[in-house]
Amino acid sequence: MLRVTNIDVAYKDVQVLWDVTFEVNQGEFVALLGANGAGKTTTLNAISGLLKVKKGSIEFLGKDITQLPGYKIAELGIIHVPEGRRLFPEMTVRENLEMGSLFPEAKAKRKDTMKKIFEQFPILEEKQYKEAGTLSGGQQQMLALGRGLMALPKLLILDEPSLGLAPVLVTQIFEQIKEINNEGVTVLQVEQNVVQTLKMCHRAYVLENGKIYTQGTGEKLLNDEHIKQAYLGI
Amino acid sequence: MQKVNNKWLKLGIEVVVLAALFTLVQYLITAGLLKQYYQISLASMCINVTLAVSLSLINGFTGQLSLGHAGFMAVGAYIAAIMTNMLDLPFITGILAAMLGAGLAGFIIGVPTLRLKGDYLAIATLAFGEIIRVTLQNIGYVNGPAGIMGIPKFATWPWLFGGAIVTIVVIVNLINSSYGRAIISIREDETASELMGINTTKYKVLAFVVGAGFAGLAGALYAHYFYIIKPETFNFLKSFDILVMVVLGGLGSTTGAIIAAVFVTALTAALQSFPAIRMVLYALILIIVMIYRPQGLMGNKELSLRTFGRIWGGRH
Repeated sequence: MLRVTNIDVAYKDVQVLWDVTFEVNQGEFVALLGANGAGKTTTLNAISGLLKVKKGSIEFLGKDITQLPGYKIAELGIIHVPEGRRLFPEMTVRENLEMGSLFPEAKAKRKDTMKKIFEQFPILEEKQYKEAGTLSGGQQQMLALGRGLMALPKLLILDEPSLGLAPVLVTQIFEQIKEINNEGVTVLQVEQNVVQTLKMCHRAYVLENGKIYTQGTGEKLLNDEHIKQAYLGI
Repeated sequence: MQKVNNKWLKLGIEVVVLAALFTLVQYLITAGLLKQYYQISLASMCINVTLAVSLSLINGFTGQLSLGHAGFMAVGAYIAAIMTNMLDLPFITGILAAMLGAGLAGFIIGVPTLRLKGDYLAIATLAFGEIIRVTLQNIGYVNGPAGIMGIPKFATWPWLFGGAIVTIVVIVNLINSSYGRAIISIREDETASELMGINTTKYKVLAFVVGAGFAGLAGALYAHYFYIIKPETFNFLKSFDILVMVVLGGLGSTTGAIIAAVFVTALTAALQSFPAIRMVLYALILIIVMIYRPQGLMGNKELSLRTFGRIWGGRH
């Protein structure tokens, strides 16, 4: 579904990604793991068009999207829930959700999608007329997820949904992401929370210093000696 | 009460209040009961409301700090004056040409500069305003620094009042449309709105062009009320005056911009008798408001009939 081939990405003169190649198949839950500064967010920003790729190509559903601007990539069905949630703080919860469904197809089903999201996250229904900026961190993350789902994404890209959340909330959010994936949405997730992510994803890629270090199923990586040492502290 | 009824009732009340205001002033003017001094103040209010509301679309709702609004006003004023004064065309042609010309200027400036953010955009737009002014100073056809004199005084009360109302109606409707939602989302978080599939450049340019177009309208009205325009009138201080109204009223509030425009105009007029301390008092008032109401008079809220209803009914 998504095929990233040999991409190099640089911020001006500072190159961050070298020759990164990976793919995500329809219906999969793929994780992109790595330490701070490994290039995880950069990879996601390159996919969703927020950053320009220096070399290499990105294909989505057989279409080359390497040079497309961000809003066109979103239109194709790649919805990126950015790091730090980035809601529209002075809009209400409901308005934030509506902002997620601007494309004709999503707009036509706006009511139904919103109903489903309210079923999954009842707190959002309760607070639908409150400004998004007044929500707690966990609620904001739910809203960010909900806003992404409103677009009826084909591929949902999540950048550290666990950021700044209490451990119990992390588990809750992860379960909800798993549920979203079970319902057929392909998920590409970046995480620093390595153990929990490896336990629930299908496959994972590990980025180190801007290069893909290794890849494999969650189970395989959990037993990898290097991963254990570097990320799990075992 | 049903929602639909409320909506029509609200519109009805608004129309009646505005019509009453219009008729009252019109009557006072024709009956000769309104002194010249007050007439000028009312005209300035209408022009300033037009300017403040159009700038609030750019600065308040789209979140793009523009300091070149006087430049667009100058474009409008000069185009309209050339149309009526030199080419003897009707006033309405001058107004439409002024709006189109200023909107086009907004487009030409907006496309390259709107990729800049914050301070950088502010400096670029500031520079644009100055370029316009200096260019006008050096064009012989419009008499350079001396400016155009003897412009026919076409901008009567109905034109001035109508201009302000049209500006408000168009911009409020734009903001309340789905376009408006996209525009506000850019202010809230540009990256997020791009990720939601909004062509942020398109909407920023749109807001800039519409805002500039109505600044052009204000320029046309100004030229045909004060019947003399000079490049110096449209210097960067004029841009700051408009910006002050928008910030004072509250970024993201149209009613705030209107109230602040009326307030600042009245204040300037009232302080005219004390020219020596005028700017000092003016600045002091602004500092005090910014200390106690940093979000502006209205914040990002709108003053509506519901607000009055709430105060009236004592409900919270």
